[in-house]
Amino acid sequence: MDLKSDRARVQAAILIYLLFCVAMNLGVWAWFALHIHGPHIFPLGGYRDRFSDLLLYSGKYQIWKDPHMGNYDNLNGTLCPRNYPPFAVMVYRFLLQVCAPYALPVMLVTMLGAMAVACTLLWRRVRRFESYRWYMGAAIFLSGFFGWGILQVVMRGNPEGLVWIAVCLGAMFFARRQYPGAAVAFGIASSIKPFPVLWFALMARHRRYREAVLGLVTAAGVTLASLLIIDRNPLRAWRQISGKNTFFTDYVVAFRPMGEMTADHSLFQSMKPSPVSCAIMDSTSLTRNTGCIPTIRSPGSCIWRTCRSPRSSRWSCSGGYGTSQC
Amino acid sequence: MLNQVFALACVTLVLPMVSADYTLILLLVPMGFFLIFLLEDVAQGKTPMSMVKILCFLLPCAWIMATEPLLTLHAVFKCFALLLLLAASISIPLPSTLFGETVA
Repeated sequence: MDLKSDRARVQAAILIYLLFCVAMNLGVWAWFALHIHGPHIFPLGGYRDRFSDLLLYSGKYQIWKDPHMGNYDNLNGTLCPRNYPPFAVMVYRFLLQVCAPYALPVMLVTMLGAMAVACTLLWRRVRRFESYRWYMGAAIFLSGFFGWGILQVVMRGNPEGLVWIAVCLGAMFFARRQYPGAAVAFGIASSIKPFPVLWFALMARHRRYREAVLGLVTAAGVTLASLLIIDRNPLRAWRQISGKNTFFTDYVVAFRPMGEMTADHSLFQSMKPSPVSCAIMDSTSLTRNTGCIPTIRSPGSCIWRTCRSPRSSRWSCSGGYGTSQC
Repeated sequence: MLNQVFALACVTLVLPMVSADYTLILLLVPMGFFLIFLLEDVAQGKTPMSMVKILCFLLPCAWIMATEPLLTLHAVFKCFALLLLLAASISIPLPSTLFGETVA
């Protein structure tokens, strides 16, 4: 391939992207298939904890729920996910109560259907260009359906896929310069999980102050409506939800790793304490929620420990689905 | 604008105290815009871009989107890839027709 023309460079780069993704995916799954009877971890995480982000909280029978799923912190059947805003609680209650026993299929069909629509729209948009080649379509659908993010969303049964739908709609409106629609979509997204609120900073950066305020009002309105549905007294509803909120104590004060966080790519992940230090803290009667002072570990020390002892650092640097005892 | 969208997505993914890998799904949004930018602007010669600069975006994206073994430093490498992507989005300008920054 002659890389002197702009078109050839773009085509070659996308081909490299596609080949890398295909090779890595095939390699990992082939290795797992060849060693399926060995002690190898399922490539997407602990198999027994699959769909646990949704089904753990269900008190009703749900299809595809593993009966041996752990009851972490007595949350099983509470219908109230920890650390999520009120609208997310409403989404959980709708799925787990109204849609039971099909909560998971309903959520997955919604997310994967939205992904199919988004990939198809993108593919139809790009195939009109002269430089389009078939493998670009393959890259779109491969990233959409077999990308690490969507595989983890499906594996964990996490509502992040619903947040993604709202963010995707908002970004589409934003690109089309339909800013009020974008603001409403970002507002709904940030009432399920808070971080899409940063999109309003982007709106403000482009002097779209009115739309940014509209988005914030939408988020506040959706949150208030959710509180009112949960309880007629919104303050009581807030206390009911925030009583299960352990984000501050678990992640800010205690700064502890979670067992399921093999796949925590936060910048702060590599600074969290090792299971060994947590065990020491537990042995000195400091529970995980009391804000005990952990050993802070930098990414550099993580790499150094990996070189010295791969087995010990496996759990200290990247946790391990349901295996870290911290 | 595309730079800002990429940077915003990266910041959203690396700065929370806990950021599980399912949040990486959000990166598909700027990646979709970037594909349109490559085919609409770069391939048609509206925005000159070297192979190295294109790969500065696509290789971290490939690493982030691919399935790697859940072994040592898995998440740390994903974090590094996100930081590389953030650095690329800050340092390499991406003026796109999609956001009205170049002539259609």
